[in-house]
Amino acid sequence: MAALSVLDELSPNKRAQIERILALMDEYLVFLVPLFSELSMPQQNQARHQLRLFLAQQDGANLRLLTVFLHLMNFWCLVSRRRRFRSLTQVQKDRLIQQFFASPIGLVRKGFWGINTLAKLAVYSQDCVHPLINYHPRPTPKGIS
Amino acid sequence: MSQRQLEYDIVIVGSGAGGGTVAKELAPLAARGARIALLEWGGRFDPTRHHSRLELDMAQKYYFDWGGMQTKSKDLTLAFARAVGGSTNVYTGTSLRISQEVLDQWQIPGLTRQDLDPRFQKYERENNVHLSPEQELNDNNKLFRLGCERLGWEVTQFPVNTKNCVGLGTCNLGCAVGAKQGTARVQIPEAEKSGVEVIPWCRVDKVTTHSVEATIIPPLPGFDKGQYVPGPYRMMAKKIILAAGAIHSPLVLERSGFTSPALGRYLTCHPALILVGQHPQSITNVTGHPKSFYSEQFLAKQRFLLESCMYFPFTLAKNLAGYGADLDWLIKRFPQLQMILVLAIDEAEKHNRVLWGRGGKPVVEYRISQQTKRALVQGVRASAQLFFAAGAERVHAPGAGRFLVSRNEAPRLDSIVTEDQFLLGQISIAAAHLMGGCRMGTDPKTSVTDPWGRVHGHRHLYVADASLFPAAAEINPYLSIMAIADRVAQAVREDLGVNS
Ligand SMILES: Cc1cc2nc3c(=O)[nH]c(=O)nc-3n(C[C@H](O)[C@H](O)[C@H](O)COP(=O)(O)OP(=O)(O)OC[C@H]3O[C@@H](n4cnc5c(N)ncnc54)[C@H](O)[C@@H]3O)c2cc1C
Repeated sequence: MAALSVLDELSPNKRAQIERILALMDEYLVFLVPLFSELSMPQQNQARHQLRLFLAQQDGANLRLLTVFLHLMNFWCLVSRRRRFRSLTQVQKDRLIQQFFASPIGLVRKGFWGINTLAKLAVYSQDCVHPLINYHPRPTPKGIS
Repeated sequence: MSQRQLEYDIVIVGSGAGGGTVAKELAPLAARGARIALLEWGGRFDPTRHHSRLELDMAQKYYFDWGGMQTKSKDLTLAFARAVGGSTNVYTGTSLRISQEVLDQWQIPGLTRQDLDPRFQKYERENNVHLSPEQELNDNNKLFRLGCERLGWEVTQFPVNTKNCVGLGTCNLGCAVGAKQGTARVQIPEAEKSGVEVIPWCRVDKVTTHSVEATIIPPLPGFDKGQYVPGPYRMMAKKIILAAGAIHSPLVLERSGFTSPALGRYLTCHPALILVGQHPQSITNVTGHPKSFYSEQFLAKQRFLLESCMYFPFTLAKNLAGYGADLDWLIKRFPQLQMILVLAIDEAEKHNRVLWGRGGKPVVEYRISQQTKRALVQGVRASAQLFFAAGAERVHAPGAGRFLVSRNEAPRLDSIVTEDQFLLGQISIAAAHLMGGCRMGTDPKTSVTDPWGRVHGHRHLYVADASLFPAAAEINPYLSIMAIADRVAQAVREDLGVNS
């Protein structure tokens, strides 16, 4: 319920901005966190929804930065490899992402950190991945407080 | 909406380690008829109703900015909580006393271990501070101790403040069984018994002479409403004590028009890295108290601390400098992972500060200094050594230029992990020990309050939280915040001419 109301209250502009970021993220999600492809379709949708909720709480300036950076990644891929990211081989993808990850330009590293963190958030924050990563926290005992 | 007015004798703003302590210490005055309010931006958490133990759910409910407030330069994230009890809800509960050496450097007249020790004793008793018995320590912690012992390094067990802990291991998402002792659990209920009024969902916007301007906000879904309807309020008070934490206390003063050359400045935060070692076998790590040992081996010269720790999948992933298959590979081996926290001791520098930004959002300007960077790099090397000494096969060592360093490379760590490869913005640096911003001292040019927390030139207004620290505590700070807040409560009583 809480989640629904956050999204319901968004302006159409902000909603469109968030959907744009999600669409752009889709290009990179599986490469950045391959575990994403091990999730079922509903789980993948849940991961995207989680991102949506997180982005809904970011201010306009942050959303703009993320959008600009994702466009920059796409642009650099087209310019340097003449293909979209999803059409590259694993090795080519890795080389390209390394250019962002280990860029000599601090701003580029920080931008990539933001995108990478979003991808991590989409996947690793889901409790449905716990069995896949063998993470088994002790269950909360009933009736204690 | 028109502003409503409430009358009090004393108003305390913020209910964390500092505010909760002051509320309890002034509570005897409430028992004698004084009207005291404890105003808190966040809500009241009930372990059984509000603790899902899910990372994002709890981060969103408990923390400012989901626990990941970024500094302006976007190379450091800050974690601090918003709730009745403040960050003591989400702390790990390690309970240390600040050292006399650090107090000597602070040079605050009267602030000595002799003055603080009886206060420490009081809160250690109230919070059930003790050493966990050997049978409760998990492998993750014991391996930290083993590594230190094999290397001949100093290692000490953390006193912790739990009661009937069942080892859920998710302390930083709030304790789901109420075992961790903090101001929400101990001091605030005590204060309420004597008549202190706790007002949750109450964000203080400004303080003026003898009044506080606040907004009561609607509660988060699933939480109880407070006693007042949402809207703007003015609380009149003879004494106002600001304890909104190192970020928000200076901001409230700034918004209220206070000017001081030191206001908001000299922020320190013990910038930290989470490091991981992978063992060949499964170890116990996610159950049991996450933090049992620390080492001060490198504190004096290299200026960093090592602590055992254990985090949750997303927090861990966020803090690893990497992506893709490498990251998945490591995280899928969760049961084999040992973790260490490296905390750099940062200098109090005037340019590190908090201020209001455009759009009314807090901005933290913090530059990671060359000295801090060096300390973190040396901390990575030392941690890698420790992991290998404890039996790890591989170590995630940021600054190595690759995701994992393997055991056979251990002798060459100094040349593998280098400052050149330790790239800010690539490596996740996080901080949860926020200090300074309203530092105490004697000179109004370099401090905001006097040694007893009285804001210079304003005898009705006090500060009683981590923002008072003139420089880093060099250890986990909450117990020292409580002891210093206790001094502020003493000053308030003395200024009112009453003894408790
Ligand atoms: C994850 C984590 C783990 C930690 N582990 C440890 C540990 O093991 N040992 C240790 O010693 N320390 C630990 N710490 C640090 C410790 O919790 C803090 O240093 C301490 O709680 C700070 O006390 P404080 O009173 O300054 O601020 P806080 O405890 O943060 O309290 C400030 C309160 O003020 C409220 N507030 C802010 N602005 C306003 C406003 N405008 N109006 C009304 N209310 C406001 C906030 O909502 C908050 O509740 C940890 C911190 C974190 C985040």
